[in-house]
Amino acid sequence: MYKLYYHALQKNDPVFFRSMLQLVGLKLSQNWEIDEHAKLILVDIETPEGQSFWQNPPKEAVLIAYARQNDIQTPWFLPKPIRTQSLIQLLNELAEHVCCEDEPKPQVNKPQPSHADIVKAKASNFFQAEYYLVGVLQQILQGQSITRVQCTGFPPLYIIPEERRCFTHQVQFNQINTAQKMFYAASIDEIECETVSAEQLQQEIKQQHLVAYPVETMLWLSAMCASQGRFSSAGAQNKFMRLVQWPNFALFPYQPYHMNLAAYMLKNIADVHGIAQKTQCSLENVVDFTNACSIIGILKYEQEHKIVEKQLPEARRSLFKTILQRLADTVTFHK
Amino acid sequence: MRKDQIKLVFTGNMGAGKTTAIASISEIPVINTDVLMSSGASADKERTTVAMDYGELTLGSGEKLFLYGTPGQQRFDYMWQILIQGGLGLIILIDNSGDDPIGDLARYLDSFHDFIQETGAVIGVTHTDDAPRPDLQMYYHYLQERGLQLPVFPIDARSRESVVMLIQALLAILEYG
Amino acid sequence: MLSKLATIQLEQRLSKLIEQCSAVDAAVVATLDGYTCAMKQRSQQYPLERLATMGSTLMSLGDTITAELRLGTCDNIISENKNGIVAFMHIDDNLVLITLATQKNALGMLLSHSRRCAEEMKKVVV
Repeated sequence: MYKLYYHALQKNDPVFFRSMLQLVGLKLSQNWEIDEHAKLILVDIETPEGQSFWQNPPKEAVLIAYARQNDIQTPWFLPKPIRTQSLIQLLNELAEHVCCEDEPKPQVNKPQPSHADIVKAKASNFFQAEYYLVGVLQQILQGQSITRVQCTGFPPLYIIPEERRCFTHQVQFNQINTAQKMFYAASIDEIECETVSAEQLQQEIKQQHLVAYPVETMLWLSAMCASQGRFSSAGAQNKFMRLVQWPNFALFPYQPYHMNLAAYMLKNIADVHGIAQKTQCSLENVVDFTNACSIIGILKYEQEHKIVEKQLPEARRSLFKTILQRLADTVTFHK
Repeated sequence: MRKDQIKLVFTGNMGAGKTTAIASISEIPVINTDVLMSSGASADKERTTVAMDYGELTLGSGEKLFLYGTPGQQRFDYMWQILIQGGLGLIILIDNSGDDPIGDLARYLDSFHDFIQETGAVIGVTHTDDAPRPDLQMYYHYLQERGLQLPVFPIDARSRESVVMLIQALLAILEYG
Repeated sequence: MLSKLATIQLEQRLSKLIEQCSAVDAAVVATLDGYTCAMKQRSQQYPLERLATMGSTLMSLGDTITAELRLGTCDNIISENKNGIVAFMHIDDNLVLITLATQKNALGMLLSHSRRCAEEMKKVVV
């Protein structure tokens, strides 16, 4: 049930509003009721009382302006006098864009699938992102609430969907240890999510010295760690694919062979077996890489393959190897 | 190119960090030809390279990898053509806090067009902390318009890891791209 | 940047150089970062602004080489060519004088006149 209330409506308007709501009920996408504790509040801003309420709304309230003209150009507006069509349109839009069901309580959400499903997914030969941290992150990013993602024994991860940023303890890209990998590969039954306020997050950032990362960093890491060389579906191994853009390796821990894969997949359209063969990468590594690229949205499937044959003299190859070895002398990369 | 000459060329606009990038990986102090700027130029950098920067890295095989930096300003473009001769590939550094970073990139892509076609290039964008716009997508959009698939990474020219990442990507393109 | 008066004085001195030394066909004063301050030539046949920029490159290279080799400051760089000579020399730490002669046997004359010119110019820009 979706709820809303009103403030500073004049004369018969409260009664009129209730009747109109009943009248349009069947044409609404959701059920609505008048509730004095609702977050959504219709305010007559043509009255002094309404204006002052508009200036100082209660915390977390979402206000709808009620006036002859939308002079203040607010997104949520109901023209005076109330007409069925404008009311239907407004409420359906509100239902779609503004969360206004029963008051959202900060609650601990256990993700939905059954324990049996999760066990099955973990043992599966296929990588189903929705059963892992990466899927949880994707889901959070579709909403608007700042969310704390917690896994017992690991530091929390805070996601701010609107900014596509997250906060957590500093990640040493070249020293991701086994424990951290376990966190990034966590399955949804090990994860707890809780919405937090911006103020709470601010406090945590200060107290815990949290560091900001783009969400892509966490999506990449969690996909890489959970994928474990598994195709995303049975058909995935025969699909032709390419990259539409370079992964932003400045944001991700990477191995030099990831560079080779990216370079090859930007120029060629091939299936994973072809990619593995041409880049001398293990199939597992290719699959993990393509899964991570798919999660961050830079992988594209194609109908036909296209290979640009490139013959590099062996001496050149060995020279590049020597240069890379020299460069890696003081910069070490760990997956 | 002489058989024993292996070189990488860094180019990019004034203040983008070419000298710094070379210094971050060179095993010898960078030899540079930077001079005090007269007030004719616009950037607030005090010194500018007029001939080249030069650094070295000895490879395991005993061969040397030469690192050359070009002058940034277009006025010195005759040096660009001299320095790229025999280069393995090009590293383009763009200062994102400049007036028109995408325009700067366009100039280098035009000037080094043939060399990039023959070899390859990577783009490192510096000062993105102070100047987040244009963002990476805007660079990629521009490259796409030109039909190029070069990698663009935000980097810190002072960081060895950043510069190594650019070179790794460049070598990957040369070998697999 | 040089004052307008100093620029005029440099131009006058360049005119004098070309008048006094028949071997000199063109002369430019450039900043060490490659901007032209003053230039004169007998006939308008050389791209002197480009020469100014290249002169700064070459002079800086000369400075870098002599510093590397601990040979002290670089006085001149001479480019002897099939059809002429170009000489590059410091006026001071920030300015370079570049002179060009098409006579092949005029090196001594070119250098001595140019050196005197550079020394006098140094007094102008102090």
